[in-house]
Amino acid sequence: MDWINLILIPAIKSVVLVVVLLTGFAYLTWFERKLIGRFQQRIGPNRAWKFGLGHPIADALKMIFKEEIVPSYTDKVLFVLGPALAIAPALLIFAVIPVGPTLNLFGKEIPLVVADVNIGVLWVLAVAGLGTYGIVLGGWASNNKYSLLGALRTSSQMLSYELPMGILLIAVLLVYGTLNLNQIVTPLTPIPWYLRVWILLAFPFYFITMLAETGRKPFDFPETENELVAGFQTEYGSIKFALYYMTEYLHILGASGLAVTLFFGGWRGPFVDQFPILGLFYFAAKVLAMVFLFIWASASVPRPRYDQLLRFCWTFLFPISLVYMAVTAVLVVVM
Amino acid sequence: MAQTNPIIEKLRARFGNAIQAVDEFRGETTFTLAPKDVVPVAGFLRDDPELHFDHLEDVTSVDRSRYPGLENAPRFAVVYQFISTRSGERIRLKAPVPGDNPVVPTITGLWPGANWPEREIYDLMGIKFEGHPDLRRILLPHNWPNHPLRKEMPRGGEPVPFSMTWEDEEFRSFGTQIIEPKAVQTVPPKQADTNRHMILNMGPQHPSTHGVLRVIVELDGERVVAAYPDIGYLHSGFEKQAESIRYKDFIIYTDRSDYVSSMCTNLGYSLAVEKLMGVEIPPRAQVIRVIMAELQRLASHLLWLGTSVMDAAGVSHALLMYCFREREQILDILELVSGARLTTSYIRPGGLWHDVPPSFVERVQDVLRTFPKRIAEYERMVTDNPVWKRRTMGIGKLTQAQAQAMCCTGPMLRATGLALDYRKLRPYSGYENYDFKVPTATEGDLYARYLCRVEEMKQSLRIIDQALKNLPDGPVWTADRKMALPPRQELDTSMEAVIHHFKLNTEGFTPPKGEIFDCVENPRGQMGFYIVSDGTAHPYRLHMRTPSFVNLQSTDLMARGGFIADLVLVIGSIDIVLGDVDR
Amino acid sequence: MSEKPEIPGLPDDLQRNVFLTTLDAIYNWGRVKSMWPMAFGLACCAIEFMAMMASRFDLSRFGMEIIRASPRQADLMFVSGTVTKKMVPNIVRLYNQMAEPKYVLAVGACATSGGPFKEGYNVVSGIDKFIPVDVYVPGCPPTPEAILYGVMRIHDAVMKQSVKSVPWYRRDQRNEAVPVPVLGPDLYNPKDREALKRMLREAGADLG
Repeated sequence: MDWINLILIPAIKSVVLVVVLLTGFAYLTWFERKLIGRFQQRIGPNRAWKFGLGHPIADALKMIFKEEIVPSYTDKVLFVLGPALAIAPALLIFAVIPVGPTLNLFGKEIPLVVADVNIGVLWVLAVAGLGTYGIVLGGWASNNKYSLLGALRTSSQMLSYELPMGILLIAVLLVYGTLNLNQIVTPLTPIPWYLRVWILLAFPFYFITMLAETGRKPFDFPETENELVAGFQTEYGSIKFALYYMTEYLHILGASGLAVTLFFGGWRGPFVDQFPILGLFYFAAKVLAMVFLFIWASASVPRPRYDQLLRFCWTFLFPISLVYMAVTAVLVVVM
Repeated sequence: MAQTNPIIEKLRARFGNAIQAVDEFRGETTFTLAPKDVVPVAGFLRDDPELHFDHLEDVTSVDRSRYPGLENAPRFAVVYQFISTRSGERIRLKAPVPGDNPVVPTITGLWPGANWPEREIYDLMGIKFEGHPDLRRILLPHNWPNHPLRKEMPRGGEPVPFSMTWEDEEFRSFGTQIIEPKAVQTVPPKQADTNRHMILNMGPQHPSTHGVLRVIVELDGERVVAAYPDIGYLHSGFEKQAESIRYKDFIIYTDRSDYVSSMCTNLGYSLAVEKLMGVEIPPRAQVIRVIMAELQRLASHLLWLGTSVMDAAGVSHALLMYCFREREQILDILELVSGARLTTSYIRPGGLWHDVPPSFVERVQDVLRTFPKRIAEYERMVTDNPVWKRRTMGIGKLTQAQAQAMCCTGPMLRATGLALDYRKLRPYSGYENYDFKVPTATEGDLYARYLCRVEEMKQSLRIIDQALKNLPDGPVWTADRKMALPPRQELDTSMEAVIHHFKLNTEGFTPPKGEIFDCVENPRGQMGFYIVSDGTAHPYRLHMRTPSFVNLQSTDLMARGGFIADLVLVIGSIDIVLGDVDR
Repeated sequence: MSEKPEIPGLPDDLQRNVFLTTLDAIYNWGRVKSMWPMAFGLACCAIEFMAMMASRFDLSRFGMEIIRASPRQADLMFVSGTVTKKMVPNIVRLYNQMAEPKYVLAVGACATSGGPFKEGYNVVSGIDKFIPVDVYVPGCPPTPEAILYGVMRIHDAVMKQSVKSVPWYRRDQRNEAVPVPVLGPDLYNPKDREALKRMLREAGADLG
């Protein structure tokens, strides 16, 4: 029964993944609002259901019922296309990230990854790069100067930070010796401890590139609300705005998932071999911890200026990642 | 004041007949001269090393057509106030101009900072300034039909035709520029090069203009080529209102002009009126006034710190809310003494509204206990933060000469190294009895302003501490019967007291004829009141010299060449309050 | 909506409403728990609005701390402060830019009636002459508690709405922009909308 393996199971997995991601996104906003509230000595949303758990759902409902406005001065096709182009890659990133070990369900071996492909990391980089299009197109099509500035900032910021990010990834991949994310989590040959520690040294730099790539505070230059009102999404309302909003949080999830997989052993943890289902929880917990870092940064660090951000990338991050990669290569070969 | 005599003599010797008259009233010297002589005299006053009147405090004007005794005199008068930052001497130049469409030479050549005050005079009073670089309306819409501060204009309520639709020339380029560059027309700033640069409209609804300020920014990429602030979106006509209400009733408007430091503005107005009336304020009231003003300064600086970090970090930064949390503690005290959180009207001409309640001292001590720790915490969060330093150091620079020429005051000026603080220069309310420093810095950039303000918060705590320790007992309302109501027991026995009570309550107190200019140090800078009294219970003319208005005009100077992100911080660092700007 | 299961024992004309009340409940609940205000402050009341957002009063408890600076994404406009003749065209334009369903809260005496500046030459007596206002909050400025109370009254009003009767989903409803004032605003009367539009058209305006 090939079609079960080829179509049905991946289809089910995709559907489950998308549903989980979309609820995950919704509760990520809740998590952020609650946490920011705590950081700011406030309570945070608590009026809808217990602990305010209903607020994300209310947000979604409201967005759906909001009036659709396509301003008359926009490029209508691109205006509508923008959010769609932004959200699709954000969802696609997760296709290659293993969220748990292989499960044995209904007599079938089901690996908990939608596509167990050899080019996992490349896929992530490629798809993440595509996501920029949605933002740039949306900003351009809005025919609003704030949107345009936001879109332009996005493109240069993403392009610049993809470089050190890619180089750091190369270094990490040198250690693992594979592009397949599943094999990175469960390496075929064990990786010596000093290399694991060495990889962890790259994480602070990688985290900075992650903040910049996802456009999160303090690097939220695409939509700096203090300068550019709402940046590229100034003209977007209702569900189209919701899509952009979703994209931002999906990027956080995707970036966190990738970082967890690369640096912190993905779904692995104690007792996973006995109870494979635990892997899912470990993965979720690690991603949540990573998201916490994101939010923590946004509550405590002021935003640098846009040009300072780029200068930091080209004069500090880029050289240091090159050096890091070179040293890693030497380490891998020599030791 | 006897020591002003050398100035009179010096000016008489130098200019001879140009000085038409010299008046003294309540220790203030007024020189009357012809408009054409203002520029040379002002230049002499500034440049003479002995006189050294190096700060232009205010430029304003009076319509004297209904002033008793001046019916046949020239109708308008332009009034200039100068002060020497060295000696604290103040003189006033007054240039009467006849006719309904008067023209006087501009003083902007000497003092670029007179630009906006002169535009305001043109806008509201209709006096033209010859040679002014940019004589347009500033507060009212450009097609406003009259000059509302002229005496024949009604207070308001009448239909004033105006139009401001998308079809206005002013808006023609907004929203149409990116795709069709041909649609770009000359927009209000005629100087802007719209073919090469992008014109970005910030405000009046923009998250970081701190109210309804509108800044038209000329951008080359992200670099600011020029910034043209457009104000007046909150212009509610304070000065016109003042002319038809009694002195004591105007106090509620002072709350609403600088609404985050209402106590200080209350104090400024009260001092001006008291000076006009020539009354003494009992010591207890003076000390409580100082405590309230310093508490308000703390609250205002806290608001500034929170919002200006927000400008750099976004609303999710924790410091914003920390500052608000501490500010609430001060607002509680204000509410305790006055019943209102923002619009206090607590300090009034004649004293204080009521004495402070018994728990006041304890509450203030609580502030004194908690705040040093809190301020240290904020400093840990931002003072040495490398990102914050990079965002603020070397940005929005003003040299001392520039700041003085632009008539800046407050932390803006002190950050350039000139310790101009009216609490030291011309002490009021007993500020001379307190031991405090005037924090200065030399760089004149955003970081220097930040350091100055944080240090000012600490100094305010010191002043409050000293004041609280020496809080005397006694009345909080002046005993002078010109302003004070007779005591209740006298009403039973004395008919005179009853009449006096009735007169004061129905008419209000009546100051003598004369004019007065008095300043206090607001959290934002110099807050001055120029009051012309015609001997009735209403001010004949009341002008507010507000710090934000004058400081705001150097936005362009500071933002030029920076990035749009710097512009946002620059506006934040001026610490504008739009009520204070537009009045 | 018309092809829903019949509920036995209910009169025909109520069948439709059973579905709608549930839908209404969900619909209203969604809007109430996620009412995002627009970042827009005019004067002193805006400072109290900020205080309301801050630690002690914490507007975020209602799920309202997402302050959107762009009117396209906002649901609730706080007109907080003195409305001047120079500002009112901008406010009306902002209101027009907001997407339905949208609500307006007039905060303070100035926005309600002109307040202490009512007689000022540049001040209009109340924003309600130009855009529809849902709730007025008195005070000068109102305390944060008062503004919160006003917010809750808006929530109550929203909870009473019904998908069936709200105008903005009807097919025959053309979402018409409120005219930006061109005359001395004190004279403007919403009933004169047609006359105003005629004037605008004569002045060569394009009303879309």
